[in-house]
Amino acid sequence: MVRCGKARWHAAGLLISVALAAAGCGGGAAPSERLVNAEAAIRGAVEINANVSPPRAALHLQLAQEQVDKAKRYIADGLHQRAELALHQAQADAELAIALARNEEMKKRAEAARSKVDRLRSGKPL
Amino acid sequence: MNYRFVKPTLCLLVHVVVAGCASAPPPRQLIDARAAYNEARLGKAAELAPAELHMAKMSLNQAEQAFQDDPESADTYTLSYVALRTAELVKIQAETKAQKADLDQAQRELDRLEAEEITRTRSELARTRSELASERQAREAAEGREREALQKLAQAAALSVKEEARGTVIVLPGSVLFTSGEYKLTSEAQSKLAMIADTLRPQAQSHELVVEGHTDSKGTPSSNQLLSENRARAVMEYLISRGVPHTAITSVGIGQVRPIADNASSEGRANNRRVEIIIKPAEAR
Repeated sequence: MVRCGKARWHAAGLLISVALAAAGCGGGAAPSERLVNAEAAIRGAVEINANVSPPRAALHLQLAQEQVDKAKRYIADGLHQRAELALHQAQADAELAIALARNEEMKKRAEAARSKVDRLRSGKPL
Repeated sequence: MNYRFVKPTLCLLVHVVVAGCASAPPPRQLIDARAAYNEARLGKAAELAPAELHMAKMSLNQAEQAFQDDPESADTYTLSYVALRTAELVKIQAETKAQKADLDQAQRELDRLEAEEITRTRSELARTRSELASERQAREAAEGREREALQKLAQAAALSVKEEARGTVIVLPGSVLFTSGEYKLTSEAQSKLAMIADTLRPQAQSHELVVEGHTDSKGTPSSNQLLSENRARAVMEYLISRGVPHTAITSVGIGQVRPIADNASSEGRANNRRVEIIIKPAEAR
């Protein structure tokens, strides 16, 4: 039964990875550097008004903040692995919020310049 | 129980469990991440943000690897979540770069239009300046010619020509123009006025002319007023008959009220009996 023997190996591999995952859970040092980075990204996003506009940036910024809050609770409970994952998500959301806010700003500037060009071309109001 | 049945059944069971594990449906986040990455790859990102697109690819690969390793682990969920955000990030960054390129182009266009505008304004200004300068030159030349003509006239006809605030004033003594108490022009008057008309005709194009009649204080003010009006009109009509346009000239009687000499002496009275022709200054444009 060659096929069945292969399946046994699969089962063994699964057991090992489950064991590894369980060991990882809660283990290791608190992810303090990730926490610092995520909070810095959130502050940076707020500085460029991502908490206000556009709405999609505000949403992702809120998600980032929620993940950071969650991570802090995990750290307090010693669940460092979970905290690390939450902070990873928080970082991604904060960076997306920053990009959205910057894009909004660039869009406004480009629109303003384009309409100024159109005004100059048509009206010549100088 | 038949052993020959049990063994294959067990084998099948293990197989189903393992196969089931491997083909567990990917988490929503991973499906979305794949779609977002493909969207970014096929959109502007490939051209505008290749480095960022590569980062998104790496992030997606990590998620796929985690999914291969354990479809239901927290790692798989988080890496898929991050891969989705990263793919969205790339799309936004590419859009921002496109907007930036638009802005730069509009800015260049603005600079060009403004430069054109400045050049146009400058050349218009230069043209206006040179127009003004040549106008002023022409006006000054015309005024010079007019002054010269009047000087010649003054010499030829032995007349007094004065520059006053109200304009250039030609003074014609009454004794030369009329016999006492009359307002019919003498023949000497007509020949002088003919010379004056020749000089005034071109000036009447740009100057208003006024003929003023003045008397001495002999007689009543009302009779003097009437006489001065009649004399002024006679001079005006003669000038018109000699080709001075009637639209450019008016006459007015001043009577005895504006003497230029003492009415007590006969010489003074002779000076006061006069007709003045005023060439008003050209109107400022």
